[in-house]
Amino acid sequence: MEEKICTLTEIIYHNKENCFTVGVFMEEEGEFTGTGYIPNAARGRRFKLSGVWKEHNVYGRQFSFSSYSEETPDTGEAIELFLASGAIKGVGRKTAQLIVGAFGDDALRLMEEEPQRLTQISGIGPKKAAMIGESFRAHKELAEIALYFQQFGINARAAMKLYKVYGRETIAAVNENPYQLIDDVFGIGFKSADRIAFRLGLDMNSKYRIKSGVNYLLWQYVNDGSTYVPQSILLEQAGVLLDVPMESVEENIIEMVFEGVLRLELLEGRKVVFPEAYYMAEQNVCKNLIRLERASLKPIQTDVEGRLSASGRRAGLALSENQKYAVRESMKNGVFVITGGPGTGKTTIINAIINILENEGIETGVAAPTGRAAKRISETTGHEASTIHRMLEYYYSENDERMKFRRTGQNQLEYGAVIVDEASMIDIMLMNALLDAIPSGARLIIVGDADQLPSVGAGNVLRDMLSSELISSVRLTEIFRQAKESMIVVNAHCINNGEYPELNKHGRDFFMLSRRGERLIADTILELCLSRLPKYYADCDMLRDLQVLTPVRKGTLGSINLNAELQAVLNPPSERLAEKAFGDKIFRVGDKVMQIKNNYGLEWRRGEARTSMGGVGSTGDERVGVGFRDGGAADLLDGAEGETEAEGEGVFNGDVGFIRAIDLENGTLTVVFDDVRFVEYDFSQLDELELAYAVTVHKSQGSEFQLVLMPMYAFPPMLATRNLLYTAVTRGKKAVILVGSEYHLRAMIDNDHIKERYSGLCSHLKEFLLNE
Amino acid sequence: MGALTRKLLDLVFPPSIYCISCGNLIDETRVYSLCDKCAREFKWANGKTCEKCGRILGDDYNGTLCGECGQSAHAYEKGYACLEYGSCREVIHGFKYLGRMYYAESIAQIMHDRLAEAASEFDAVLPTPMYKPKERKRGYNQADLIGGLLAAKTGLDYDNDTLVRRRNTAPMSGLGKEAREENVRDAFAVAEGKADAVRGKRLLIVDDIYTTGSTLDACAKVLTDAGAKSVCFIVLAAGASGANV
Repeated sequence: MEEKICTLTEIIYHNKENCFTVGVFMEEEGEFTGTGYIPNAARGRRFKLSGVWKEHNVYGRQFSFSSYSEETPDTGEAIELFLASGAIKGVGRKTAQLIVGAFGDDALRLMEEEPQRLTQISGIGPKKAAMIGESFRAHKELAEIALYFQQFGINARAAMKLYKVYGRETIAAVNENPYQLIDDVFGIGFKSADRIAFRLGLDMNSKYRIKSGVNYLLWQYVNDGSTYVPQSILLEQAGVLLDVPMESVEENIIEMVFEGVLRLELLEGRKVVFPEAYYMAEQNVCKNLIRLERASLKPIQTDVEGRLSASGRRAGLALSENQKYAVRESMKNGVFVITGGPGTGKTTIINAIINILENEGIETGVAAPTGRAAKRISETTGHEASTIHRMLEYYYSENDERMKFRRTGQNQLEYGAVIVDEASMIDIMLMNALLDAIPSGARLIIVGDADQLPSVGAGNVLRDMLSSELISSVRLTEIFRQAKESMIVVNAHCINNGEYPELNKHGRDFFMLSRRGERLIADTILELCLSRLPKYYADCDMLRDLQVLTPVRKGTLGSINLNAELQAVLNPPSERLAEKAFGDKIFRVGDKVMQIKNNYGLEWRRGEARTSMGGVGSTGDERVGVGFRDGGAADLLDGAEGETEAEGEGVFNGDVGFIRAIDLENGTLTVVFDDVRFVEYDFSQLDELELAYAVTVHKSQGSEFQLVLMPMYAFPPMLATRNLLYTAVTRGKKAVILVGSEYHLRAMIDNDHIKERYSGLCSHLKEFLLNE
Repeated sequence: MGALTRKLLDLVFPPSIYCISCGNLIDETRVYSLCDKCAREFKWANGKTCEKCGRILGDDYNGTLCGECGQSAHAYEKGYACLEYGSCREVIHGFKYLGRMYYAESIAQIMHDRLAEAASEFDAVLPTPMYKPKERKRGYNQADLIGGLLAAKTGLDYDNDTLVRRRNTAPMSGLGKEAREENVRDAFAVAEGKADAVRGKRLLIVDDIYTTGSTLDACAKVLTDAGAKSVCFIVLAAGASGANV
């Protein structure tokens, strides 16, 4: 290890996100190139670097430093150079000159201890003097903190993150409980915090550590869809993860129960652990379902039978007995569940129900979990539908600094009936919020397809309600005559019943191209997108209307690789199109992209679809965006009709748009969602975006596409399941095209294993009734 | 749980209710008798694999052959592996050394799914033979158990008396590449009077693990010399690229 005291004289490269810096440094013996991590690198700053010489095969000999510390400049000249570097807010080259001119070698001490004396300099008022003093202090603090953490192998980037949150208390806070970083610092999970704790030499048997590890494991299950974990599994896994005895894990779980974080319950004879919030949500859902179920309803005066035959005639189709039953029961029950696959007449039933309710003068709210579904219902029923979030008036509470629902148990909806569609996508938390807000005596009609993949969020709400058999329900199995024309509908039902679909019927909409081997399958997908499909489906836009779906993220046929390959053919590099590399991905103007996490604070403003944007490489082509989850704010908040606001906040997981502009100078990338909502991303936020030429089936839930293209290959058995295939196939409207192995298509249909989700709703519902 | 207790439990309970890798309780809808956790953690060969031996290469691996196949030629035409050995060693251990013969069903199904339509490219399935006295001692040849089931699933002919092992060989584990080759030199042969079962045929050999390929090369050489049109193999697991099992 060699040490060098030197001044940074030129910055060749500096990455603001991770602080990696390549620079020219000057020491007494001359200049050298150095590489390493320095936050806020700026010319003129003096460092002590320790590192080793390395030979780079392109750039030659470089000094690679693993740690740095800032040398406090001590001569007037050095101080001026340092101040002029821009490291201190409010001080540029000119001010630096003035400060050093006035105070000489004493300038830095003064800035730190008596910043008000800076006002002696003309042009610096008390406010600016205070700002300079504050900024200099912060600079020194960060330098010290970075230096402290460096010795434990925690790099400057991480140190800066911590400093932003804890300020001067950083060292104390991290030493006391590094596991609080998980909650406080974005991007630090249990494993990172644990590494920090280990390097700091902290107690590996501490309560903080064990509790944090238990939480980490529990939330892994929750994020995977469970609302609880059997205690025996949690104990065993925590024991392995933390390398501590199971007894001490158990002790800590009990403490967490007393702290109100966890809930221990005996469920169907075994001990299970819930996060408290999920336990409460399940309990509330049970209570509310029973409340609504038991409430007395205002009887219906309308001649239901007469209406049913009339609405059947109007729609040009007769309702089946089962369908009529669904309508009648919806009127009789406080809560009624209707489940069925595509083409089984769910929409017709909703229409008939709305028709009767309107005739009764009952105010009816219609909602769905996604904006697109809400739009579809509005169009097919003529009754305005919104997202559940919008119905419940989701808003950002300044006081609580988080999103909340305005409609709650204390401020219930004013409807006499509520119909929700696409209920398979409703997780336990959303169902809890919805039920809370529905007044007793209102009819709740829940419509969905229980055979779809379950909700992304935790819980198995629709299936649990059905299997509890305590909530009245009907399962529609008959396919409407018109729907039988569509092989997508017919085959979806085949698949769902475990039968093999009929493929490649002439003139129909369900195809399979047999290809052997992953490379050939990928090549065929590319060729279809590029030349064959555009010819055959001339009315479809291959970027907007076609969606490649895949079960997996990794591998040749995974979304990551297919995205890269599809991007290369559908939106190839061009001098006209600006691009920005981020990690392994390249974002290019014109790319189809997806937001992959909820970001409530991200601002959007309404723009004209065809205005050309400023910035480097504005598009020149008009392929601007349409989101398939119908996009973020408009999706969750504004519902189908919210088309008036000029600006708003919030872009959500699953929103799809197109890159309109990339401004390399200012480090921003503009995405257009739904053709009109413009969102500007700072380059540091690009980890929230992914290319969306190909997306996983899980991410496609609740969306529909004109054309669906999906590879069929030997996917891992966890994913190669019947209900995943069913979900994928039911996304397609105009055509579904499978490419690959028919053997694997059949194997997927044979695999009816549904990934286990631990959910207590069904047992809780039964228990509730038993206890009465 | 001790091996003996496990064995007793196996007698009492139908084996399909335990995960064949970790022994956890499972329900009958699980594919391959694996629990969700093991199925997820196994490294399945559904990404990039070596075009020669079929072992798993990383997605960002440069090239189409693994390091080993890049350097040395093989007597077989092509191999299929279903899993990376490291992730499924418990299954192989239980199957081979703890007498869990019923694992063969799951293993054969995994192989069938790996081959898919490619199964139609073969005329017959052959197990890697065991030295008969050794087989009598163990009670079964694991490759034979899988092979029979795989043949039934794919509808291919099954032939377990054409390829024979003429002498006992030392266990391969722990041996280097040269030692392995030496160990199996002249160990295999086509049984007398069985030349017709080989001549002009496209053959698929079944084994449990692939490491350096010495055994499968030796088998393939004997079969090719006897006039086989092509010899491929399928194994449950292959070592990670560059790693020795």
